[in-house]
Amino acid sequence: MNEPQQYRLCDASDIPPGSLRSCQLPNGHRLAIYNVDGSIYATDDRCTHGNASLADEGTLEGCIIECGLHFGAFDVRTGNPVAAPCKQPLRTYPVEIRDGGVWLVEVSFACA
Amino acid sequence: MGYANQTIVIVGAGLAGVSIASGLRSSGFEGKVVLVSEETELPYDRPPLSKQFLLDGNDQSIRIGEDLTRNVELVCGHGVEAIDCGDRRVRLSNGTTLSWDKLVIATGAIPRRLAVPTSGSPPILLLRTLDDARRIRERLVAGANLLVVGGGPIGLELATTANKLGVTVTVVEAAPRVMARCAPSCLAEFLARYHAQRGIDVKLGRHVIRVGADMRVELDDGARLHADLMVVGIGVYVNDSLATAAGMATCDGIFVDAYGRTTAPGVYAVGDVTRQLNPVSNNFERIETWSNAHDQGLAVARGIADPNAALRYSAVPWYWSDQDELRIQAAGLPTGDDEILRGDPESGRFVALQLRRGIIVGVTAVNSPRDFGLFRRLIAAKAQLARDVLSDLATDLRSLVNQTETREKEIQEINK
Repeated sequence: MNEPQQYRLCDASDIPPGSLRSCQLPNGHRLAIYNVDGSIYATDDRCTHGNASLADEGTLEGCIIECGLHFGAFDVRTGNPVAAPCKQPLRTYPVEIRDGGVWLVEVSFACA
Repeated sequence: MGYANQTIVIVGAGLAGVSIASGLRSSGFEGKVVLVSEETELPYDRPPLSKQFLLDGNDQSIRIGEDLTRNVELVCGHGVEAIDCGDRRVRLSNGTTLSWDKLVIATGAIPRRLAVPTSGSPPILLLRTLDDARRIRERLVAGANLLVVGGGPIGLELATTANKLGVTVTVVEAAPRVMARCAPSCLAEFLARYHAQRGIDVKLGRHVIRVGADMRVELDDGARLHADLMVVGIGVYVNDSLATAAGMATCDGIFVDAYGRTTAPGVYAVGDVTRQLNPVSNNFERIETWSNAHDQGLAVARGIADPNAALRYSAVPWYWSDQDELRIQAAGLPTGDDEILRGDPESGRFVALQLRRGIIVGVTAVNSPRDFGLFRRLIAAKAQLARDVLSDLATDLRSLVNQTETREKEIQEINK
């Protein structure tokens, strides 16, 4: 398959420090993108515990995303759960900022 | 910190007991921690028992406190039979005794049984333990008839899960509406319609008066129905008899202060078994929620591990209930003297606010987690806001919360 090597998620200016947003991959899968003091992180958007969108319904404090549904939380840098009832880690995705955009580094994620 | 020579015994290994054990370790307590469970199971989380567990039967995904296995001694399969506050010991059902320096009672509650005449021993089940859920799960096969007695959150969650599995579901609720104890009538009416539209037969204001052989069930209006399985979810009795027998102050729950202390020195209680000050109603109440068991457990553990670091626990009570596509969240009190409805229930997304003398005392949200979190903070801040500001969907809730919390802090500073 001749997939592009990288996938552009959004403009870097769309996600200022302290903010979060969601992005959709070509296969429909939604990611949540976070800006923690200038560093960008990406995880699955759906909480591993409940039926909630972290980007639309969560709150980012530093590097911790708190889900708005049951108030469990994850560290967005590692995906590890840091507050119950969340227990299963969130999948994280490698991203980089280049040419004013936020890029998903490993394209296999985008096509999976 | 430290207390390396001390032993803390925790009676009960539900969420509250596990949160204490976990909180003691994360707060740096270095002594011995013994967690006593009358179940033979490793500790588990209860909310999935009426939902995901019934679908997938995966008991490993609901375990809690797995990180504690190395530094907490778990005594399984034996309940505590007596507490001796003088000699600081507990006696277990197998006759052994355990000594403690501090004791934490987290014995929770026991589900109420249906008090009606039955013939034979029909399969009338309860839903509190993992074993209860396993027994129910075995019988939830497509085409079976399930009768749920009780239209509270657990009964309705079970009903929606069973409905999803192709089970024919009838819910019999004695009150004139569902979730009568914990929800405003606008939510109750919405839920009754929602579940009826999905094929669940919700019978309000009806009692089961007899269960005959072959599970022929008779209701008080003369209706007869047949069930393959009957599950009763009509509330709980508090499991405070050990504390009462040991001389602690109890009254349908063990009285505790904001640090989880009972009236017996060195003895604490947390979770469903307690009667504590509800900061919104200002009454001593039982708060039977997952969030209370979890948060009170962690807060009390911190004070036990290091009294100098103790923080008053006075969280606004809240619960969630996931029913099919509805994500229900409620905080504070279910009723007030005035109500504001934000959004149209028919859209499947709305928020109901309860006010008392103009102060926000309750929020009930359906599929609106963001607004719920903000209104919960306004309740904690005892916000008094104009009615038209609250009812206006265009109001910027986030800046309203920030303003209110800043004002609250300023008032606290002045009062210092």
